[in-house]
Amino acid sequence: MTPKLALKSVSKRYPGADVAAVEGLDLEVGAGETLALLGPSGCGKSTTLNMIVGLEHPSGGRIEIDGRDVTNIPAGKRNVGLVFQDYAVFTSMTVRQNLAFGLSVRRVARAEIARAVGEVAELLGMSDRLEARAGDLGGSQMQRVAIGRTLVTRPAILLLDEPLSNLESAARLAMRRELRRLQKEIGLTIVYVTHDQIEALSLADRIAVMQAGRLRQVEAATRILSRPAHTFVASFLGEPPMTLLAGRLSGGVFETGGLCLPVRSDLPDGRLTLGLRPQGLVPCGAADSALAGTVLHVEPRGPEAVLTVNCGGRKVKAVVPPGAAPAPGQVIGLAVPPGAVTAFDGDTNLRLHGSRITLGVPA
Amino acid sequence: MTDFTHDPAALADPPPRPAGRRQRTSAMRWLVLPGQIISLVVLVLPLLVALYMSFTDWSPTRGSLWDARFAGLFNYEELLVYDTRFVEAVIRTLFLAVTCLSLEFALGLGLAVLFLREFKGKSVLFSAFLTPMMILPVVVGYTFWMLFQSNGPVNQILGLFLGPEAMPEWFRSAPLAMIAVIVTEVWHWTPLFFLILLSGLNAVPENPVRAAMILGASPRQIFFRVVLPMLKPVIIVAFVIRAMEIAKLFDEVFMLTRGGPGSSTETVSLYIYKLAFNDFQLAYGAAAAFLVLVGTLAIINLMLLPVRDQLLKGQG
Repeated sequence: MTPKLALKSVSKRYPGADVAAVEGLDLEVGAGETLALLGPSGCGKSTTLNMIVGLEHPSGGRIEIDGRDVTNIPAGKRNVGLVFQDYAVFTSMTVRQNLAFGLSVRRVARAEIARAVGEVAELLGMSDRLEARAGDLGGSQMQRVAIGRTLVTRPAILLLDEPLSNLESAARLAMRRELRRLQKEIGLTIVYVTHDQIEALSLADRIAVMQAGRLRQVEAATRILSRPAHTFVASFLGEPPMTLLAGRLSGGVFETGGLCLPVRSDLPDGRLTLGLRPQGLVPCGAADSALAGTVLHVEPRGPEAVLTVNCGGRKVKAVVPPGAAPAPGQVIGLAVPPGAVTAFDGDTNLRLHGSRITLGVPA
Repeated sequence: MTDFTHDPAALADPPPRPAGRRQRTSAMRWLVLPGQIISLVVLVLPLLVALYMSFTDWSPTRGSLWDARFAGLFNYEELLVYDTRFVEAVIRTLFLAVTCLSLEFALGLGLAVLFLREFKGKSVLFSAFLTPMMILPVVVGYTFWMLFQSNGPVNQILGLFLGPEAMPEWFRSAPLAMIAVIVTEVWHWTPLFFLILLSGLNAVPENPVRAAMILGASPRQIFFRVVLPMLKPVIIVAFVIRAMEIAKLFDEVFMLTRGGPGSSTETVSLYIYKLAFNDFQLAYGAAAAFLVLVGTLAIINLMLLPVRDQLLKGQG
């Protein structure tokens, strides 16, 4: 089956810039899927979004929608909708005029416009606000207008730029439900762009993590936290993210800074990065684990507490139930069950698949 | 604005009044007083005197204003019912406002749109286009008076292309003199529209334009349906500023035509000037001035009506 949207080694290089904004991006989005494009600011996600919608032209590669090359088709003729972060509603028009805009500029018959606008207004629960001036609306209603204005044109793909970030928390929850419902009801293909992992995890089926113009991993939202494919993903996702220890493995000992840990593994000696999942670590007696040190901070977070432990100069984070939290200054050990540790290649920063690694107890 | 009445903490515990505040407030009042007295003496009193004057038949040749006969609404009735020259001057000024403002708006908007793009010599042209409005109206009037002379540059150029029969006497024909006034005024003040509209266009947010583009609108549709409506407050403010200027239009017309031939290019300001300083009918002139003031106030406020709320409440 042809994917709804396919980016084929797309890159974007701005004149005069040293590094490419986007480099060799390959990505496929299936029909009816929701994908979140996640990354820190400046990672190239907005550039990617602009290239998909046609506001910017890629310097290399192809963009296909339903198997058709749209790389050279201008914005507005691609049948891709974009909802801006600031909504960009036409503030001087009424809600009705906003919703009708996409059809009226295409000179669609009046009756047809009225029907489509009525339908979308119904879908978004805005039927009673059609005559209000869009500039007088509140944030979440403006966003509804912005989404509705796009839906009226029946886009093949709907792109949303940071859809929840400008809303207050109650409106966020409502809009999140709304977007989920819309997606189910009309089977839209949606691509979200966001820097907020919670937004990505709660909205999307799959998450594509970008860093420095490159795609680091595309993975189901339910699995990406436990299976990062790249040290960047490991350090960017999770609350708190994995503790990454870059070091060297030789003769069954992993050495990182001043910390030496006995390791049982099938890995060859060499540079290695270990990722420790905070949720997987279990506090124990200082003598019971090679990973031990002084508790620096205890940060209570409602149902859990985050410990920062100084292990031989390395700060390791662990999540514990608040009742079981040790006091700052206490010396504790951190037991590392096999599932809590992930090994990454020390040079490529990629996850070492299929390797078995166990941080041993002290000899 | 913070509404403290809904904040129980603010009600329970009012902020302590800083020591010496009472003395400071009264000192402030005393410091403001001289300014208020001056504005009362130079602004409000003359206005009231002029208003009183407009109800008399006073002329400076006939002794003191306070001895003049009270004439009631006689001056006003005379102006509105019998003085066709005044009514014509009002209509002419309105005609000038509509014609000049339309031309200045169209030209200023066109230039401003051109200046959104990059081109060679843009910054030099920008300064050049702004220069006319910095020149004194008297100088502009005098310069255009020379340009429109029967053997002046305008006629020389017209004659070169269209032959000697296309070299009219500009200031001897009513419609031609009017055209000369309009050309001068448009040349002089298009830069103001250009400047205001350019800054307005530059302040138009980018995303609604891009959104319209993605929704399939053509550049023309984007300009007329998205950009221009966003410029509405700016456009109206520009029109208001210029409309007030036209209501006061005097110096250029005075230099160009003195209101002639006959009174065919006479503006209200020019007519009131002639009433006051040629005919010494100061009371009658004051009445005319008050009529113009009331009319201008009404028109300007009507023009501001569509954007009043937006300007008062801020962007929304």
